[in-house]
Amino acid sequence: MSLEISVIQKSDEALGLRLDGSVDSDTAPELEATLDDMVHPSVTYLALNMSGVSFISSAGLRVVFKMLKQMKARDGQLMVTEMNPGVEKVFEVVKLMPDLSVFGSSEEMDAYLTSLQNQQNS
Amino acid sequence: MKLQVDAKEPVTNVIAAVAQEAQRQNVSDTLVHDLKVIVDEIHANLKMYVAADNPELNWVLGVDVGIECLDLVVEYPGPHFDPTNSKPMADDTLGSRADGGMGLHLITALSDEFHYNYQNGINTMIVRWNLKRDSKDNLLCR
Repeated sequence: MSLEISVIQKSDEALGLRLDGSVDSDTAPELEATLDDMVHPSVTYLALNMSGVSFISSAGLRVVFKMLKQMKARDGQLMVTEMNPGVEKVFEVVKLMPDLSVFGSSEEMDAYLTSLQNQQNS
Repeated sequence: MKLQVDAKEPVTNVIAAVAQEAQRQNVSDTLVHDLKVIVDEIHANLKMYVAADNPELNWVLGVDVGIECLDLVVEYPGPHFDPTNSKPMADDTLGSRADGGMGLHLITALSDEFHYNYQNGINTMIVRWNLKRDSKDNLLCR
């Protein structure tokens, strides 16, 4: 299974991507290249909708770790939504969960982003 | 099922063949997921570390579903390398966690047993899941 990457949200500070397929040793370089290209220095909120991800291996996890480090260095956040139980288990095994902002649905995450935006504007 | 895998084979094809065989044998979706992750870890490591010195490398990947256990067996020629003796994944900082040992950590965490043997120039790795059957006759991890 290949990996499809679609942009679902894009602003100066926030980037949201939806991933469909598997994030494995063949597809992780493509994900990394896309993120390197799209995560500009102004981006502090990176959201990955993983509802279409069937599995992720260490090659994909390295990309997630890299993005997490970037977001933390900018006082930003890496947000993940709608992981299937297998993907969530893998994230737990490598102790990623405490460092991520995890949302059960895109609506939950959107509401959170809107509240952050409102705080910044007020 | 035994597959002869070429180092240049896209991992997607290998994973699909393994998953198809496991599903044919009524292995649970949870276990099929874990199998996919582990096949990718093994394939990526063989490609990166073993096939780098031997681009024509082929290895044999076997999936053996029995009553008590499911074995994923990988055999390849080359120098002795025991992955079960490798250092575990560091867990102190984000950077060190991503640096190394993560694939091996996933293999051991997502399976029940991980064995290694070396004989006549052939490395053999066996990843094993202990099985039980549920009422629908699906195979589950114990």
